[in-house]
Amino acid sequence: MSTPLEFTDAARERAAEILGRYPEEYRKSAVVPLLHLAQEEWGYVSPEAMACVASLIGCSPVKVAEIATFYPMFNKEPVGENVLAVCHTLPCALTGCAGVYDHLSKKLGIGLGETTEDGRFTLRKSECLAACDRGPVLLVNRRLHTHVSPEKVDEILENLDKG
Amino acid sequence: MATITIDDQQYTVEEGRNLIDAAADLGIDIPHFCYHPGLAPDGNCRMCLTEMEIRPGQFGIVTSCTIRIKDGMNFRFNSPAVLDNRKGVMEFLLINHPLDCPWCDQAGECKLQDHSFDHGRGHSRFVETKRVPPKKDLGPHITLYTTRCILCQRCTRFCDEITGTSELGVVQMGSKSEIATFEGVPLDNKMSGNVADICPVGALVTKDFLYKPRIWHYEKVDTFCPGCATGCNTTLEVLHQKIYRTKPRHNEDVNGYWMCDEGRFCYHGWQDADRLKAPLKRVDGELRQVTWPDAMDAAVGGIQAVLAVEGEAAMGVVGSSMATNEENYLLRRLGAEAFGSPRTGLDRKPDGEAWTSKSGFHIDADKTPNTRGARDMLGAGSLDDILQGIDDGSIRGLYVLGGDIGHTLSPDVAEAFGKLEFLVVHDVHRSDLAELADVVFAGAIPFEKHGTMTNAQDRVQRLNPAFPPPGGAREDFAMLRYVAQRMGVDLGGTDPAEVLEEIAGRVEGYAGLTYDLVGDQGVMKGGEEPSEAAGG
Ligand code: SF4
Ligand code: SF4
Ligand code: FES
Ligand code: FES
Repeated sequence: MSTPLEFTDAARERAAEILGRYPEEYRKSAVVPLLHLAQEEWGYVSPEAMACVASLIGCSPVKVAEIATFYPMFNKEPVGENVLAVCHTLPCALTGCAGVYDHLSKKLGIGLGETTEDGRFTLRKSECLAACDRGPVLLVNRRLHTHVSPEKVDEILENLDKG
Repeated sequence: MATITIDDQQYTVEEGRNLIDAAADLGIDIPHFCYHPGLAPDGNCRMCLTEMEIRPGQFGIVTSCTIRIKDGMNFRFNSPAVLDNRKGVMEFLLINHPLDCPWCDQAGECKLQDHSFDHGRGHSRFVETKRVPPKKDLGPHITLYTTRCILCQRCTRFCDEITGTSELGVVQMGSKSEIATFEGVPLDNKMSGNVADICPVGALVTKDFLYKPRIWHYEKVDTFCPGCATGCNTTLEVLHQKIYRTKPRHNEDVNGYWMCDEGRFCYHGWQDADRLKAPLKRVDGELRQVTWPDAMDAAVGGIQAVLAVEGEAAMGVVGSSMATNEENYLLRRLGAEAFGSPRTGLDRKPDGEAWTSKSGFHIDADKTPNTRGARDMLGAGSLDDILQGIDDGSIRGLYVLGGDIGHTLSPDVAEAFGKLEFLVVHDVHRSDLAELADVVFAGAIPFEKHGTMTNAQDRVQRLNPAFPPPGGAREDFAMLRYVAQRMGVDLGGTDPAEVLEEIAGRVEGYAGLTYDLVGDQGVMKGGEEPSEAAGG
């Protein structure tokens, strides 16, 4: 098995705090917050990171892989500094998400799932982000932008540039 | 007991029983994929949908596998809603399913084939391209044909509930979901082969059985595994005098629905052994192949010579935990009546590893199937008395049942046997024991025998042959009778059933046993129920 990664001391403290929220016999319930912690720590959830979480909650690593691979918000591979996810489910499709996606792809010079050479952006499509009445919807890292258009996308990226 | 209604008809069934099982008891088949009686219900496949009255006069769709029978429940198994739902479930399951039945191992025993035929439709409305994920090597024994999987999760639950090893999971989401192992943690546990049995489709297959003759060609033989003293009940699949597959056969008191991998694949070792196909006789210091009459003359002549010179009781007998109760019993009578000797022994194989699964399935440390029975029949559990007799010169000859391809003599036993004047051996290959003998009778392996054996729980079970012994080899049972006859003793019973009846009258604990009573599920010695179910 891939050798589990080790959390830094600070992360370990947070992990202990997370585990403390659940009764001992339901330790496994901590899997999602711990995966978030792992992703913050290492940027993505590698098999080694899953093994780390598995050892913390005391289960077989494939059970952590089940959760980590089920949720698209967990990156299974290294990503850029910013992850852009264009919703492509039906309501957003009807409001023109394809135009938004194409614009981003052209502007950044990358295709689906790719990362720009400078490592700043990763482009993705996502399933419904639960804001169907305000499409098209773009998720930038953990922030949701609604009613986006190619122009608005430019603005969002510029603001990101400004930091 | 509970009274329930199914399609306007009343039935009495066991309270608390799962609806699928209760219906099966009534001879009604509710189609299902994810439910398996050896695992906890999971309710994920939706194939078992039926209608249940949830409020007076109002019916709702429920999963039969998760319903536990209570008095007064009212079901509809064949309403339009039920039939429609079933059809819908079938259609979804077949969306990505390949049409490779012609070379799928499961063809002929596939639930998906059967249920499609009964509940599906003859054509597909799916015009998109099917997903074709590659097959995966899951572990030493198991391959996953990913395309065929219907995600019933019987396999993952087996590894969670029964072995407790949890190597399998469902990764990804939605239509991309797949059964997977974690990298570096293969499906490698002592019972992994069972996942191929319980997979309702051809997704999980054992590498051992891949691309073997189609399943409908086999003859099925119900017997039990000779791999250890647990004696898991099995069905052998046999074609042209060859075993192709072993499957566990349900016996709640012995093995439940399962067997271990070592037992499952042990037929190879036996079947591929370099067998003795004719008797051997020592001529000018060397063992040579001879005819049966020749070997018989030599054996009887040698025994009589020992008895003539050394007197009665100079011959001892050594039984085998690979031999049946009936064979060990006849051996003891041969010793007592033809040799006039009460001296018996049993050469025990050193114990191997014992293991108990999370669910309680037990692999015994005794890697032979009939130590208990051999002891009961011989009245001896070790070789001590025999070795003592050889040492003090009171035993000058031995008649020994061998027959275990995995057993070698310990050095002191070999040395003692080497001192004998005359040694007759039954064996199945040229073992180190056979090499010491003056006459070797070519005997049968457990897959070639009739008779009963007694497992570690004291359960008497019936062994049935998959095929006859090869060439001039014979069932040991017949040879023992013949030797006795040549020495003027009639050992009675002409088949194991008759001998078992005799045993029932003479051996403690076996009273009342008959071949029929032992049946295909075995019966406890002394007629007791097992103290605890070992089924796991
Ligand atoms: S591999 Fe077989 S047992 Fe496992 S989930 Fe798929 S269909 Fe079910
Ligand atoms: S537990 Fe023993 S009897 Fe059962 S399959 Fe394994 S070796 Fe055979
Ligand atoms: S479809 Fe895009 S947010 Fe729901
Ligand atoms: S058998 Fe009931 S849902 Fe699968």
